[in-house]
Amino acid sequence: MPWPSHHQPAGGYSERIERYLDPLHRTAFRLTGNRADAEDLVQETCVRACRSWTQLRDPAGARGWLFQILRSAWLDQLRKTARRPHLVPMEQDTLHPSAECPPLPNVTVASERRKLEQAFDEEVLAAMNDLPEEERLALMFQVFGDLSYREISEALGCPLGTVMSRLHRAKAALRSSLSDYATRQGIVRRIENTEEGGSYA
Amino acid sequence: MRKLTCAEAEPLLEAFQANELDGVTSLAVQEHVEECRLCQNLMRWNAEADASLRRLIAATPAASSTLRERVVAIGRNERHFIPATFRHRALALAAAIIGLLAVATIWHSRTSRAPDAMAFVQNHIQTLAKAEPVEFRTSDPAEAEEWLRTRLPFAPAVPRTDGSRLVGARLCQIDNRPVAFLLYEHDGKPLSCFVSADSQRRLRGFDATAANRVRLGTCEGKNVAAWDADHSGYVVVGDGSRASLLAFASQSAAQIRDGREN
Repeated sequence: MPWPSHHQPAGGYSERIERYLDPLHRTAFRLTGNRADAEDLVQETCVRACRSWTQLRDPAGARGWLFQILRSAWLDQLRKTARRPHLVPMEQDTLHPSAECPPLPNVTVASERRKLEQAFDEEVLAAMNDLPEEERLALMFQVFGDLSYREISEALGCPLGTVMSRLHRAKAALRSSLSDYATRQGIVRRIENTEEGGSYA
Repeated sequence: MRKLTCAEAEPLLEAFQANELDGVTSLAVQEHVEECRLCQNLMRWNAEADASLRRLIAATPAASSTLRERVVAIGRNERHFIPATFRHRALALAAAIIGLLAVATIWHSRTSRAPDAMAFVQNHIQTLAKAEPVEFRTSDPAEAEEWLRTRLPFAPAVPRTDGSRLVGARLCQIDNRPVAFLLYEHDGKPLSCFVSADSQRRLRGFDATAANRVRLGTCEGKNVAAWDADHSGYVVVGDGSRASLLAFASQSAAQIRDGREN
């Protein structure tokens, strides 16, 4: 979230960057998958940010700017480790209808609900990691970085509409993954066999 | 306001749920969703995915205190950041300047402190102008050595050469150092021999090196020779020819060194 005009960050680099450390680290952790690599990525981001701190003219744009640096450092790291990010060309950034989903089951029994949530979390995480890199970055910046659509467009260097389509596709993939899981497990079918609004037991 | 179709509303559902749509579009999507069970279902799945994502946020570690310290340290260390290439060049330049200054300082200290042959030549001229140029008259080098040994903090060896006759000795100071002065008559001309405890290798005013490591020069129209032997420095200034002075100097240097070895 941008800084409100009446509460712009004061002080130098250290004071400002500390405010964004947690979202930077959470995003880096989910990008890299482990704490050591995440800390290295955040550190590299901070080194780059510190060196070009004077280029940040508007403190309100600090969050988007920092995540732009994080993205750049991450893609550099991927290049170094010869991991090929799955980048989507701009011409493919068009809206497309997502796959239809069966009705979501309404699981109310606490123990079943916890199991389902745990399974869903694993599915979501796996689906998120399978996303094309730019969609994955957009989603992670939104979720773990708490960036607004505008900040994501600054961080990714793409138009707002592209951010919307990337996040739409990313969420559609998560939805699809969850509904596939529910279908595989027979949860959806059993729900469909119950009366409308019935609960899974 | 025109009602949205599913195809129009569905791509906007995520932005709608994230409150990222402008007021008019948001209202249009809301009206569509209220009437569309398909989109309501999609929103429920989205909400389920969002709930999963929120749980993942909670399960994702925040920045550790170690990382915070590292990041703050970056701020301290990089405050006056200089690009590596420039930094290396600047360091190399600074090292070169320091090296040049050191060399210049050493050279200056050596050259500025090194006595000049001129001091010996002037002493030679001034001494010979005196009515009594020596304090101790003797033609015996051994007597002169004994006389000097009792008056100086070092024991100079007095040269004994063919074709020269010792006239006597005296004490003098050159460059604030005690020096033994020996007056000879060599080839019919006066010749002054200065002996000090300091090496004459740093003495300036010479242009050639002859046998027995004798250095030769000319100053104020006088020929000058210098050499080191037996832990002493010798400087001779003569009114005779260069060849005559060199003969005395070369023979004396060899004789003193031989005497030391014997």
